[in-house]
Amino acid sequence: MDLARLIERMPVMRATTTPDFYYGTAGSASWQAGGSNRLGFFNTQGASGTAITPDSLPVNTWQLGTHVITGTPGTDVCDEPHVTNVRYLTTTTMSVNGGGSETINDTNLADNESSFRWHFNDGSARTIQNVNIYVFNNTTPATRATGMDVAMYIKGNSMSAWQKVNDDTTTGPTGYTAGSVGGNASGNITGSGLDRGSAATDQYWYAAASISVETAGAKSAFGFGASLEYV
Amino acid sequence: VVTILVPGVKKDGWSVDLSDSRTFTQDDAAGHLSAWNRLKQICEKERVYIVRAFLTVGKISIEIPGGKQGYWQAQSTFVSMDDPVEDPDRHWRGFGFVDKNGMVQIRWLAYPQARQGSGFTNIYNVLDQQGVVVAVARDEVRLASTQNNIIWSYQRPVPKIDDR
Repeated sequence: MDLARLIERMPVMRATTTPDFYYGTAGSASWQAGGSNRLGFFNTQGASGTAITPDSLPVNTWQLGTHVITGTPGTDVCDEPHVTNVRYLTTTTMSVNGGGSETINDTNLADNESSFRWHFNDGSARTIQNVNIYVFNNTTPATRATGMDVAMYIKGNSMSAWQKVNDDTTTGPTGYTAGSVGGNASGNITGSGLDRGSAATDQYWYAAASISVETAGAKSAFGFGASLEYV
Repeated sequence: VVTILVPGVKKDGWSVDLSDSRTFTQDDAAGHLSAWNRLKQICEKERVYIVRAFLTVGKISIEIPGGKQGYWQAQSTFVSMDDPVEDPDRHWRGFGFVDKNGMVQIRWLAYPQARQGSGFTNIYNVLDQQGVVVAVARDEVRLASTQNNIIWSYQRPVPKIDDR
């Protein structure tokens, strides 16, 4: 076999940017690749050790439970412990797993309390720049999610408050009634704090997300998205 | 960006000729620093610079003008939780140079299927000599001082003239 043919047969290295979730089974928690699972937002967090039955969020109410689920909604696969629920209280405060109000900042929100983390991986050690984290309709990056109000906080980006990343219509909880926010160019989170100047094969961005729905029922036109440049 | 289109004869990626006549290609390898970051180290350590560059995607290569103050390279992708693996319809390769106004003139190339769903509004087709769309492209300008991935050209100091 000549060299050219050998090169053709070598697998193509492809970078991945996947969601990881921090949860466990039988009391041992760790960051686990999302794989085919999804992140779901519900009205119940449930006790550690007991999977919840996915339930609906009341309209205009921030979620009380965050779970790794198998479908829409499928079943709850994070049980001991569940993914931490980080709930929006005000623009600068949060409730972690139903606890009292805390200022949302890099100190109070531990890495392992994040709703998820974006995980870039490539075989080569890469630096990363021009990161853009957003919510969209799960089809077209520029289009906002339908019927959703979403707040996000990304660690390490000098943020001092939740950022409104999606606000579909004028229906919503306090502060989320302007509408027309969302997608990769509206409400999106950018900043030099998201750059990764030290080359590595794995790079991470820790995110808290809080959700409110504007209408009753499951939301399928909703997804977390990210774009980035790797060098 | 002034470019010369030539039939793509190389693997997808960039290749550069250096001022000491060496040629480097994008040979990213598992477990090593990325090829561009390695090249950046070499240029800074050995004080050599890029004199010619090509970017190849599929059946075409573009030549980047030589003799510039610096050169810029990156790959970009976008993902969602449901679709986290980079594939040709979301993968762009960018190469640029620093112009005399301190701006980076970047040309991005991708396979034709990247046009759909990208959200970019400034995409145009790249045709081969038979008029077939072989790639799509878009151009972008950035302030060079904000970019950390530029390989700057090392200019040898002009020898002082001893006029005594």
